[in-house]
Amino acid sequence: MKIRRGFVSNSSTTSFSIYGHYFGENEEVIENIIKEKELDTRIEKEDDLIDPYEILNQNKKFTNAQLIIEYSPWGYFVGRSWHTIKDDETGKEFKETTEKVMTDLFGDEMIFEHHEQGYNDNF
Amino acid sequence: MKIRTGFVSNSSSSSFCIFGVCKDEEKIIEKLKKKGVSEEDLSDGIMEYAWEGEIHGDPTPEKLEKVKDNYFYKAGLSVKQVMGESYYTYIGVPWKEIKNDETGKQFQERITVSLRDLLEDPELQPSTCEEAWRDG
Repeated sequence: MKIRRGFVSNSSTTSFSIYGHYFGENEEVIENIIKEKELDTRIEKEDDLIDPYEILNQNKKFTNAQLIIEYSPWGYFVGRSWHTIKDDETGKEFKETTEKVMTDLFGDEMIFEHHEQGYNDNF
Repeated sequence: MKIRTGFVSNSSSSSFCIFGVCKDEEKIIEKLKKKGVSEEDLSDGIMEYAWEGEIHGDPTPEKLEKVKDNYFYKAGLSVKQVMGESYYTYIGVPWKEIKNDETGKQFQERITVSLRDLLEDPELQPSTCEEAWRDG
């Protein structure tokens, strides 16, 4: 008889499934890119702290391209959710447009691939 | 000032994002039996609830294991089973498996046709299903 471990029903989890790049565990990597590429387009800044999540979600080029930034226990992931593929967009076009806009924003030192993560965000 | 809630770093979690449907396992078995699946074809495996190393609740039968290849994978569909407040069975295709020359609409139509055929339900309306759960 096969026994497979099941799941916990009362845990709080977050997940994402994107095509994009993993910026690694070190927060300074993405923070430095944001500084170098002048991606902080916020008009009103509450403080000098860099919060990549807040900064990128207020950058029009980033949001118009339907990009998302995910901060997980493994670090920062940036990309576009697979389910945002448009009705008239092919899989190839989805990957190419995501790669182009991300290269324009962050530079060309990225590895584009599928990232799918789930993590417990419940203290 | 923005405060973002953190997370438990040592947790083990799983997730998926498919275009498909969520169905009751017993209803799927009913449909499969009409297609020739017998009780002997169904698995005798069981699913146990696990939480922080301890087993909780009663074991639940996990019957679809042995018929996945012949009925779901052959139709190009994946099956994901998740234990939440009840036992959820998702059937569909992960979005990441969209083909390079296939549009979003064609991808959805392909899966809709496969699911309607497999589950013999011409009115079936699949959608994007995204789930994450803690399994450790």
